[in-house]
Amino acid sequence: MKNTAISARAQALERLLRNRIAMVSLAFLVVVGGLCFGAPLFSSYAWDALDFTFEALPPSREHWFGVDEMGRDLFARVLYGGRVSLSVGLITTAVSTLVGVSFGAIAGYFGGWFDALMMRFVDLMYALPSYFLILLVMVFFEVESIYVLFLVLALFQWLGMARIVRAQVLSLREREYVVAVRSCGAGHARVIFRHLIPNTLGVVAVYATMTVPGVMLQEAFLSFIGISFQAMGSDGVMKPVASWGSLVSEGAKVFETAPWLLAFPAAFFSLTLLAINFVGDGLRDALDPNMKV
Amino acid sequence: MFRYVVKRTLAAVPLLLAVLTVSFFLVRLSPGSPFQREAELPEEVRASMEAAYGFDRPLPEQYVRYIGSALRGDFGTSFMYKDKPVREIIAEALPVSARIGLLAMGFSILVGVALGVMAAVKQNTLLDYATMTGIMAGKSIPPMVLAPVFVGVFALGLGWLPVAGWNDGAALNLVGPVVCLGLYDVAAIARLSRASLLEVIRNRYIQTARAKGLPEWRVVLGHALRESLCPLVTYLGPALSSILIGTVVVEQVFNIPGLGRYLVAAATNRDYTLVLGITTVACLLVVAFNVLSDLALAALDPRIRVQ
Repeated sequence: MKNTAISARAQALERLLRNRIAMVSLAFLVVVGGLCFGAPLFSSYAWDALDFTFEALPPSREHWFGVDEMGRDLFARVLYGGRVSLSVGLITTAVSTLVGVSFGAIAGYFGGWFDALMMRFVDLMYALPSYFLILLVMVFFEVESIYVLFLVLALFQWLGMARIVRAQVLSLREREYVVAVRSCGAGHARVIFRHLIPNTLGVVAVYATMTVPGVMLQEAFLSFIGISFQAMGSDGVMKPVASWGSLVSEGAKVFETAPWLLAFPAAFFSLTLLAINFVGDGLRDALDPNMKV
Repeated sequence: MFRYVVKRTLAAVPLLLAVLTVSFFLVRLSPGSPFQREAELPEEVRASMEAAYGFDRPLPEQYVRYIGSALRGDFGTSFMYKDKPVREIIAEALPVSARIGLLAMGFSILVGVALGVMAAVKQNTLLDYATMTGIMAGKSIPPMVLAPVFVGVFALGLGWLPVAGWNDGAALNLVGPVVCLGLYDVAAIARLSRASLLEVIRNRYIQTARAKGLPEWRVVLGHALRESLCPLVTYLGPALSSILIGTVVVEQVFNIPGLGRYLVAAATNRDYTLVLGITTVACLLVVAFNVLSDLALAALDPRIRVQ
């Protein structure tokens, strides 16, 4: 006989596994992620290698996705660009989740004027138009390092997470088990990080997943405006890094004469965003059908 | 209501101040003077330019002056378009962007609500799933992908619309930018109005309306729709920011002389005063719209005024 008592977590997992769109999306993301992060295995060209024809060429047997007007292999550029775009999405989300969860949990746990003060700060930051302030930072400080971009994007991303976690903790901290843990002599930090935060992780996972596409779009927006980041090229020279956002913007400029330069990066970018959104939806439905994020 | 209007409007003042303060310190703390990169300026020339912009004064004085001139809409002269005050450029470009933006907002509200209501009424049918999937796709296609594809299909392929250009706002030139700009919010609004209508429809008064024999379309349009629109009003603030962001992309692709195109040109050419002027105006617009949508919500829902 099978054990009939199934934990809530197992039930959620089962619901997720039954969600066909979410599972297909997840499989797609694994494939795209594998292609991008394992790029050297799949492409024999470097993302920045020129072949000095200086002519955009349509897809061929040697260059699956064609060649851009500088003679660079587009397949390699899409894979390496995906690395950058996915890293921006994932790392920024990770940083902002870490900050947002801690901030929200601490504010919610202590409550009172401390909470009010912390949340007023969040309200203020939240009302600021982040896209334009980020643009100002990027232009005026001439940020060229992609690592700084992670931080600047995360600076405005953690706010929503902080609000959501705070709301969760506000109700969790009234539960009896918290009193029990406290009476066993656990300190505030232990209660917050060992007993409260783990109980918010479902909501956190959903919200974090929904954050990734937004961050990737922000990077694309900055690339579109012409803010480029520098990275070490295969010849040891610093040059503008390729991301899906920058490839799409470059492709959009020559769309009439070389449509494949837009089509391939655009397809990768949009399908990845779509897949992440579907996974996020699936996660939400699986964890709590009534949850609103 | 009057008290609420005053309170909510005053609450926006520190926010505006915060925006101006952040932008001021971003500019002044950024490495070097804006004039340093102008190749090999003689020392006296640079000094006189800095004096002209007031950069030689102590920082607190600069701050006060900056806030004062920003409030008067004076951001100095553009570096790129010589001798043209930033204010003049914004005055020319803002109406263009506003026209596209407002049309796009109207488009997204109309189409979004219609789609949302349709999906909610036919909940869990093929139509619902198709709409929801389409909405998801709309959310995932960024404007920098959508706009060129739109041009490719409707202008280059079918030849129905002009490829680009403003043409003094001729109707045909507006179609592309407005649709590309509005589509993201169509998705968001359809999602919101579907969810909200589904919630409202569970109310007792809807049951009453049905019980007295009203046809379903009158129940939905006459009774449920009004209440279900309340959450949409709160979305107007975020909708405006997404339109402001999208317009930067769309104006570039369709070659429209609005704020967005100037912003891209200014950012790539490091035209500091113009970037600062346009972003400040954009920030002020976002803050103002948030206040407006809060006020509209209070007008619709008396409970909010009392709190």
